[in-house]
Amino acid sequence: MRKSDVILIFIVVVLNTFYLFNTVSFSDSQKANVYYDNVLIMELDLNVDGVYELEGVNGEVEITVKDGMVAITKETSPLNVCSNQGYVDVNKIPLICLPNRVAVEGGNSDVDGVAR
Amino acid sequence: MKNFKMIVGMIVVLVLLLLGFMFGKNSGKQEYEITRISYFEYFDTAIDISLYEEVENKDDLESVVESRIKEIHEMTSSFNDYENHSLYELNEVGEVDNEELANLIEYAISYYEDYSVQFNIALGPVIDVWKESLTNCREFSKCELPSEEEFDNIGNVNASNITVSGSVVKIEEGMKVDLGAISKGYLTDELTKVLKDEGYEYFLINAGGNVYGTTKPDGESYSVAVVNPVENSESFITLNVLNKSVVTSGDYERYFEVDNIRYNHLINSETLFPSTLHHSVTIISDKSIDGDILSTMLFGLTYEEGLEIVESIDGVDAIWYSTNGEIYKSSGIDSYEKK
Repeated sequence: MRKSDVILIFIVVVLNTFYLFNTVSFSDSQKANVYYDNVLIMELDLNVDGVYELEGVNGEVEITVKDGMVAITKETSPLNVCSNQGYVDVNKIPLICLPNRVAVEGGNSDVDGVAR
Repeated sequence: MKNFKMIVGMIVVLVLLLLGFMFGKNSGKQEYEITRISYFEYFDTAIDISLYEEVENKDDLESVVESRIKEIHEMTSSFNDYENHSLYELNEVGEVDNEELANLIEYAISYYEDYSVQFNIALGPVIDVWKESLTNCREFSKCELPSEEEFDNIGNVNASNITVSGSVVKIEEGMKVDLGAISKGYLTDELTKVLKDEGYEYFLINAGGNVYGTTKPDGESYSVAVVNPVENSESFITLNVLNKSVVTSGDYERYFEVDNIRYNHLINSETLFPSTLHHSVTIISDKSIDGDILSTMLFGLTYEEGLEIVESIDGVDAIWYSTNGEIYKSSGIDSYEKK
């Protein structure tokens, strides 16, 4: 093996390591946790658009993931506060559907609480 | 042999690089074991407590906390008769003997008399009228303003006519006290006491949007986002708080519309109509009850009037998101704002 081959292999390994590490580092921010009654019941992949359903206190709750954002697209509650919020970056502000006891929070949220 | 040495050297460099990345990654955000307890049965909202420390017996703690929540819920409810000398009794018979309730009402009246009538616990009859319109619109799609007759029948709304003598509170005929604007703030302060009495130091309470944080175990502050009242899928400011309360009063969750005009639930004490100067007012304070009172009061005042009050009280700061599109901040907000 020539010296130049070894250096080339080294560079490739370093670049791959960079890539892998970046992928791992950002994985939490590409995930959303769905809680019902404060219990984690579902993990959503924010990279994949999709519609998820679960049974809330007042009936069906529909959660939609689109372009990395999350919306509650169907729910029954007096003020419809969470469905009125539309698509949300859950790493910046969680979706909380009080009457249905459902919350969707980003896996890498840097916010500890939300005043509303 | 020469190549072998080179490869070993490169592997060492690679390992060092990896270690650097690992430590670099972890230093960005401290991870904590958080124990969360939540309650959904009280105050028509969720009460959420995050403890950033070990909880030995979660069931016991939940039970102690719930017992205090239930007491305050029953004491301040004007809807149900819990037969424990509550607010309901005061509104029904005009008198109640309850020391804790008397102290709470006296505290609320002091703000009304010392600062501004825009925080008024005697607005009960007016709040009932607007609540009925909100319910009719939201639940039965009958969106109309209250009629003039309904306002004609409203009785005395002067909070100075509530008398507190020791543990006894009396109101005049036709009056109705509503503590909806301060009950969650009072609850937050009381839960802070309960948790400290139980030996906990590191926690964040969120009682339906009333947020109070002590400190994290490493002395770090809590990050509290404030919802953007115009685009409420996002926040417009994030605050770093240590042993502080953050409370927001806003027009964006409880409201109804008639002819494309929004009528929120925050009633101006003088016009008896919803206040329209601001979309939201956020208060940072030591006690959550003060945040509740001041956010409600300032919602009914101009920014200039509100600022004068805020700057006169130690440890209090405010952020106004006004309906003219401007965001105003009191002088101390810079020290809390996360850049």
